[in-house]
Amino acid sequence: MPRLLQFNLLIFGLAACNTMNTVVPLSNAAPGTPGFKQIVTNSWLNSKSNVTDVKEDVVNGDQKRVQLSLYSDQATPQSISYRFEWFDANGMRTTGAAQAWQTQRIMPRETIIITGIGPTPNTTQWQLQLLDTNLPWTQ
Amino acid sequence: MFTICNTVVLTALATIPLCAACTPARRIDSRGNEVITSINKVDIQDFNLAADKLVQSMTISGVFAKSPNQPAILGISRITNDTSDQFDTDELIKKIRIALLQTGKVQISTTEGLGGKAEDPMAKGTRDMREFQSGKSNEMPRMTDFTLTAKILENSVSAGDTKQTSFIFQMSLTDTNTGNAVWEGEETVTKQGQKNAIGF
Repeated sequence: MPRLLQFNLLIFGLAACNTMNTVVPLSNAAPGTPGFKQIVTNSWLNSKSNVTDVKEDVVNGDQKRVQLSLYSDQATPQSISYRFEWFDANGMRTTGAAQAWQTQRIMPRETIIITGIGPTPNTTQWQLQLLDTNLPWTQ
Repeated sequence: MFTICNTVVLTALATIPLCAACTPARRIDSRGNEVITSINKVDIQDFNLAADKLVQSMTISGVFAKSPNQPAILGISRITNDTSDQFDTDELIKKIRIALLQTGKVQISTTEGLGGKAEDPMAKGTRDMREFQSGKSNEMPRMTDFTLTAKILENSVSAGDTKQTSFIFQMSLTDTNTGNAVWEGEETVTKQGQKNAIGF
């Protein structure tokens, strides 16, 4: 009987564990340390979308552009989804017209680059949300 | 005790397929990960994805920021749906218009349209009346600096029971002073599977 219960708990647990990982920039990062922080709630997702580098610049004089490198440590092709959220200097969210989840295929041991541009000129802060699209038991 | 636990677990297991079979109607986030992905139809997330990528490409090119007139005025020209799926092209174009307007570097003309038809006839009438009353009706009004054309194409193949459909979103931006395209973008969304599904 305990085994049956354990099996049921495992099934429910697996179904509920597709949680989101978030990447946020660090404004006060010490020299020589990464200028970002990964909030990992899903280590399986992190193993196939580990952020290794973040670059920021400004395009057209006033629009923030962010570029992130994501590395997959997996031995098989994987899929992830991501979405950028943008905020103004006061931390208020700015919504773009077409900011939707985007799916990205990542090959074994590959580093992919994803880019986002702030929807408005007063966008100064960002965060990246990552979600799993193919789970280990669906492959 | 054993019987009670057994009954609870078996009841719970029996309830799962019943719950899955009778999902009641509910509202979901149209930009979220629960929307239906169809094989042979352009979905709402396809429009979102294409608009997002094309606006990003257009923004990075800096064509509007380099325009001598700030903000530049954009006219919407011919938008062609060449797919087998019948949809209103505004599902794509409106998202692009909103995103471009948010950048502050471009304004969209609603009084100049393809074939001389204004998208907003009331605004055109009011502008004409204002120019007539101010005695400026003989002067050349400010024209659009750029025009946007787009075409949406479809490419379908199948292997056995698996179908694959690609929707190709092509877009061109023309400088009306030179008549030359100053930016072009193409975004392809490919979907593969045997039947429609919920999720990405």
